[in-house]
Amino acid sequence: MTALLSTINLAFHYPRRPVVFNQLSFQLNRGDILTILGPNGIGKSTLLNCIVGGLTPTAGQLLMNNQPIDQLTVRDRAKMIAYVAQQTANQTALLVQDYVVTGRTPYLSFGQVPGVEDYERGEDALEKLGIIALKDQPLNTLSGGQQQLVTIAKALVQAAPLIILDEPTSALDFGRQQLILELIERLAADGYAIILTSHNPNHAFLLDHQVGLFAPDGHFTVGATQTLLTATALSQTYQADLKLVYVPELGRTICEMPHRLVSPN
Amino acid sequence: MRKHHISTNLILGLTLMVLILLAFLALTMGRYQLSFDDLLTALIRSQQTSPIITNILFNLRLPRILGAIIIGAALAISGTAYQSIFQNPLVSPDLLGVSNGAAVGAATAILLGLHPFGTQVLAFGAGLLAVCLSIAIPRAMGQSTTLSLVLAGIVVSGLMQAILGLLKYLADPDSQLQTIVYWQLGSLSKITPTNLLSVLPMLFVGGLVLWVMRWRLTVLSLGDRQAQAQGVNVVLERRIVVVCATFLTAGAVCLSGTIGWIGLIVPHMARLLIGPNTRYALPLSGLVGAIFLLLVDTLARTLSAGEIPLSILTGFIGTPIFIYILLTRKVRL
Repeated sequence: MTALLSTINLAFHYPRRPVVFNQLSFQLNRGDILTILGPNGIGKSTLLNCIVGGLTPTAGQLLMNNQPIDQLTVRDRAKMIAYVAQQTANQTALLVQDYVVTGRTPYLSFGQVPGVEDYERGEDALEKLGIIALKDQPLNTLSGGQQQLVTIAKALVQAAPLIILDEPTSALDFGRQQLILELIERLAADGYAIILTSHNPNHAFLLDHQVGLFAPDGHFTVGATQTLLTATALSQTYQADLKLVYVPELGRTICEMPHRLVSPN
Repeated sequence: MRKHHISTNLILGLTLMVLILLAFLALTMGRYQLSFDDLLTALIRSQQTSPIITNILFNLRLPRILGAIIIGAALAISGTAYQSIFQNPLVSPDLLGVSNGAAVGAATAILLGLHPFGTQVLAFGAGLLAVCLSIAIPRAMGQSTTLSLVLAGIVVSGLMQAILGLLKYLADPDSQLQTIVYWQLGSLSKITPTNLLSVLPMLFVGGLVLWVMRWRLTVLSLGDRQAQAQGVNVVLERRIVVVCATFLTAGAVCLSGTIGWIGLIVPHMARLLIGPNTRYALPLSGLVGAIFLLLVDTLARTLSAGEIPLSILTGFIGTPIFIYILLTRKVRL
């Protein structure tokens, strides 16, 4: 079986700058969830950008269904990969329903405007995320969290088998974070492959699929959550003293900071 | 979606009706005032109308009114297109230097005594050069802010005005200078069916391509990254838009000289009425631009015995509207 996405010895560095990552390899199939963890500025977003096509890897290969990604047209790539960028305040006054429907653009010909069916798909996605009530509002009047949900709805409408989310939970309250993580699980169960970055190791434990861990030196390891995410590995990754505790009430392990930040002596 | 669609189509339809009504009204107005009866008679039973009225209507007023409609629409559509692709509410054919660039091209053609086609080619070439310069300056500085593009546009406009000044200095004061100066302030008084027809293909192609791209423009207005993630070939499609918008500006400049403000404020008025979705805002800005210039030109030829240059009027009307837009829409610099 060919993997939906494979990266083979991928490397990237900005011109005349040190290497961000190299020898980065992993495979992703439909139904997989890959949670990428790592300290700030280590290259999580850079990696996502390489996959989406915003940046060109300096070495290595990116294959989608065994076909090099750079051989795909921008449009075909958009049919394969939906990308939810890191939350930035959206200045457009476009109505939520119109904004969500921009996700249908890869399926429209050059002069085509979105039709009734496209808007219906948009409404379905908004309903799935519980924000259908926002559909007639200008996007720039919404809160950061609402905007993030709308952007995710747009990615759903794009109907690509691979969905990439850069810190999808960063602007969301606890309830909405749970909603998004549940949605990610549901999408994976429906056969989508998902890559997300997060600042919270607990999201990886909750999702309990694959984890990609960026070490402080830029080395990237991929593995199953249970085997890869040890207290030592996480403490090393974040350069902090972190504890893993099994909580019977939750039936899973959680990652926490030590209970005292400054030792008393 | 359907409700939304109906209301936007209603706005477009009503605006079109207003435009048609105003066009008929404008036909009756002028030094030689006609009644609606006269107009109807002339339009329906032309053989019963005096040749003077027929001449005034069909040879003087009609080409001029059509010119106002076409030029107003062209400038407004090109402004909407520029504002969308640069995601910048402060750019317009004037502020990007395109209008003055096209004016330099056209003035050069006047000096060289070129025929209308040569004028169009030079106007388009110089306009395109100006907009490319305006885009290149912030890029070279590694800046992508709204303000840097506006500043670059002001600089390029200034350069083009200097060149225009030089051309005026070189021009023959008895014949060419007057033409250049008068036409630099914008006027529709020299529009004839012939020169209208000669520029029409250029305007038609530019306008048609932009209309075809009305949804792409919405996607492009979200920024390069989002547009690319949506499968838009950003570099190529933005180039197409720049060329087409410059076609429209250069074509308009060839007909009427530079008329300021329309390309800046009309797109805002259209978005205020119908929202930022270019699918609707683009055609609406065309209609509103047509109405705007038709009104301004009718004022220009009826307010006084002489003709008031259009840029003077659009300046007086445009500035307060622009200030109002800046205040209410909270444009971020």
